[in-house]
Amino acid sequence: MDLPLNGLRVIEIADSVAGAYCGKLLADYGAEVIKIEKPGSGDGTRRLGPFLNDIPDSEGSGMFLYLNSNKKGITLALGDPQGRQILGKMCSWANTLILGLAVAEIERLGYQQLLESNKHLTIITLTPYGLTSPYRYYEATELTLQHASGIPYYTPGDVTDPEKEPPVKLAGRQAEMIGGLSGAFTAILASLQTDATGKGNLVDIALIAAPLLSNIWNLGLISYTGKLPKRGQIKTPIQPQQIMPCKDGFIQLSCNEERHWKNFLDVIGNPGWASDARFADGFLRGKNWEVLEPLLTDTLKDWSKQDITEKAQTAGVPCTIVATPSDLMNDAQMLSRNFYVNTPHQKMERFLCPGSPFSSTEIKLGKVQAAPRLGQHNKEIFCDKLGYSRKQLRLFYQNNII
Amino acid sequence: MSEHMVSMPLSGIRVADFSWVAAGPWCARYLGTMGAEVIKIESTHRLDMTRKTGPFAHGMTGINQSAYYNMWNQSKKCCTLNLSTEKGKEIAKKIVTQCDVAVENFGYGTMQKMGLGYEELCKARPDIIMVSSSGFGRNGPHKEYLAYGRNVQAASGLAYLTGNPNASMGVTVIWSDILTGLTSAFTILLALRHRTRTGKGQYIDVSMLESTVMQLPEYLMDIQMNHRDACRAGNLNGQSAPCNCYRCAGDDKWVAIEVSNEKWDSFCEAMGNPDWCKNPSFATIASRLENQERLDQMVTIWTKRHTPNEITAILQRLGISASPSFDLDDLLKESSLYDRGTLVYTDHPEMGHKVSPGLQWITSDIPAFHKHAPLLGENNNYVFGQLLGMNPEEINLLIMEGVIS
Repeated sequence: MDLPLNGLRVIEIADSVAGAYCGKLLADYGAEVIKIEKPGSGDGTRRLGPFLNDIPDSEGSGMFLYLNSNKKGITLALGDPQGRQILGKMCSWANTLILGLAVAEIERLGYQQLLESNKHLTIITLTPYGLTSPYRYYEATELTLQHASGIPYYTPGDVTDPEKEPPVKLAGRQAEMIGGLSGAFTAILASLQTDATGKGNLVDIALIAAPLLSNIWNLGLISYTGKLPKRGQIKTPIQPQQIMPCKDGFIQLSCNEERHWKNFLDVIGNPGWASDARFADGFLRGKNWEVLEPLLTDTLKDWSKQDITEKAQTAGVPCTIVATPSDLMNDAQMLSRNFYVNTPHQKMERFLCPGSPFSSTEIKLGKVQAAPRLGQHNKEIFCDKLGYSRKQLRLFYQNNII
Repeated sequence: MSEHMVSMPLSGIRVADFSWVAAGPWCARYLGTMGAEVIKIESTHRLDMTRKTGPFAHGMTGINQSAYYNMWNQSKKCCTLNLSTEKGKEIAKKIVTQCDVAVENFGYGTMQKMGLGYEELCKARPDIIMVSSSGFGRNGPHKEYLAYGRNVQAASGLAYLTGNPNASMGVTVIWSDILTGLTSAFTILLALRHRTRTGKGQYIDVSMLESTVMQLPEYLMDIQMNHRDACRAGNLNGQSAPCNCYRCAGDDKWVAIEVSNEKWDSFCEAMGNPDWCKNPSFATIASRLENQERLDQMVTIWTKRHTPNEITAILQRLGISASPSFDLDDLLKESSLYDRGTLVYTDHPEMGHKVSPGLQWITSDIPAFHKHAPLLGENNNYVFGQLLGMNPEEINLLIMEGVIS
């Protein structure tokens, strides 16, 4: 299968979602990615789940399977000098090395030495604060990454009582994954640079940084007006631009422009209250939202979210359902684009995961190849690729090198 | 041709940026920072909406005074072209002939209606790489859905799943656009590599919805594996306790703390080993998860006596994950963010010296090109005179005809 990243040879050492996601994105589009795991225990994401029936299973962790499909997997004890020696040999084969580890671990690996010995090699590091940060040895998890990025502070929208509403993180592992995406992006950039110059690069990514940059609106406010609104004093100026409850769930109604509101009124049958002068334009509706909101809510309680969304969109209103996870599984749009792909799972015949967020006239993806079992490709990589003998391989096992 | 003195990954690549608002411009900005020559094609008749959105520098509205536009459109050139005129469309295609990449994110069918769809652009440049991003994608039953960023964030599940459990749900930060911009830039790199190998360009249809759902796989998995339809859990993750954002001393100041099981004893020590720590309700990870609300109340008694920085320092010394929950005020005072180029200063001819978004990485040998967002039509002479080789009379005529406008 001819894919754009054919020819990109990647080694991934990642005990984190960020590093694994970086490797996944490269593998999905044709890179040859060899994932190195600790002998015995393997990658931390093998313990992350979710698991079938909540039963932990190191070969059945949903996140591990998603993050590591299309990769080869080996074990290697990188704490052992011989393990690091083998890594050194692998680095002369690879053009990209992904390190999704704590900074202290990256330093112990001797990454500078690896760069010195392999001038063509690009190393992508994915660490919480970056290799050069004064906080580089800080412990971090997704929770603290997000809070350090500044995003959660403004995430509860129109907060009424700040005391009762702590800053809250975005659901899921957004910092880790946008970090991984940044890694995949820079890995290809670096390969383009190396094509031209023959020299590799060190790319030092801080996982707090990409989410931080998404705070564009507030960055503009503070940089250009010197002031940020306080939590509890932020009020959406134009309404409705709000999550609204309806019969069987919620919708996001975004009448940013007057014609959206007029169209929406048509859909809900132009109720009498709509002609109230207090609702004459978006700003007035914002000012009088406490009055308008219950009226709107009362109307919407008879509408199902799918129905109001369909009718509203047909009429030209930016309205979408607030999807629950089961709504996502049944989303007509994503299903029609074949967005979900079957990801091999030993105990599930059908295990659907996100596939690719784009379609293309040229890039055609094949079936998802299963994530590696722990050490699955040891023989293939150590013997066939790196030239060690079977005897050496046995010795590696005996000495817990692999 | 390249204005950059050193080799950059995208040196020699030229981009026709038809996009506007957020996701498209953010994609093109990444390309510009990495050495591509990005030509934003705008018009006084069809201004990028962000030029009209505040905040404005000096409190004065003006098409070159928008903070927002400046954030989304750094490192680009800009020419004005009235795409509702036939001549404007022809000239746009001439620009595309000189480009490797075209980016757009208009509503469904808009580029085609302007005669600038993929088939037409291919006639101008057979190996053009065209990236089209949209809320829901360019095919399927919802391809014509109107959607702002919050609509996509709602449709993706992110809004439903985000928020404190006993408070409102939702995501107000501009997340999907940022993610889609980076995703789109990633697809362009894939396409450039493909072109090197095959000589072919391509049309890429990026969905904001799908870009967002890529990063929420665990919720889809839990439905399939355990029939659990998750709802918002705030800062909790069902695996650690304590794990939350706690009130500190100071005006609306908070600290995020996550204590792994192995660190529970160290954490108790950090708090001064208060008696409540020995309560059997908190003895194991399972019991702490079961009594998490009470646990969080007890932890707050300690955190409220300290500032977020104090808590962070105490806990980090013990190897426990903690961070202040920063607001932008704090972050803009953090010098390491400037040292690392996460935040940069740009000098805008009309808005002056301003803090601007940088990049989430630093490298050994790939410099970043940060420049203020262009004034409207700032590079007309370069684009029409130099790139397209028009002489001043031709250009003046087109200006008078309202084509270069």
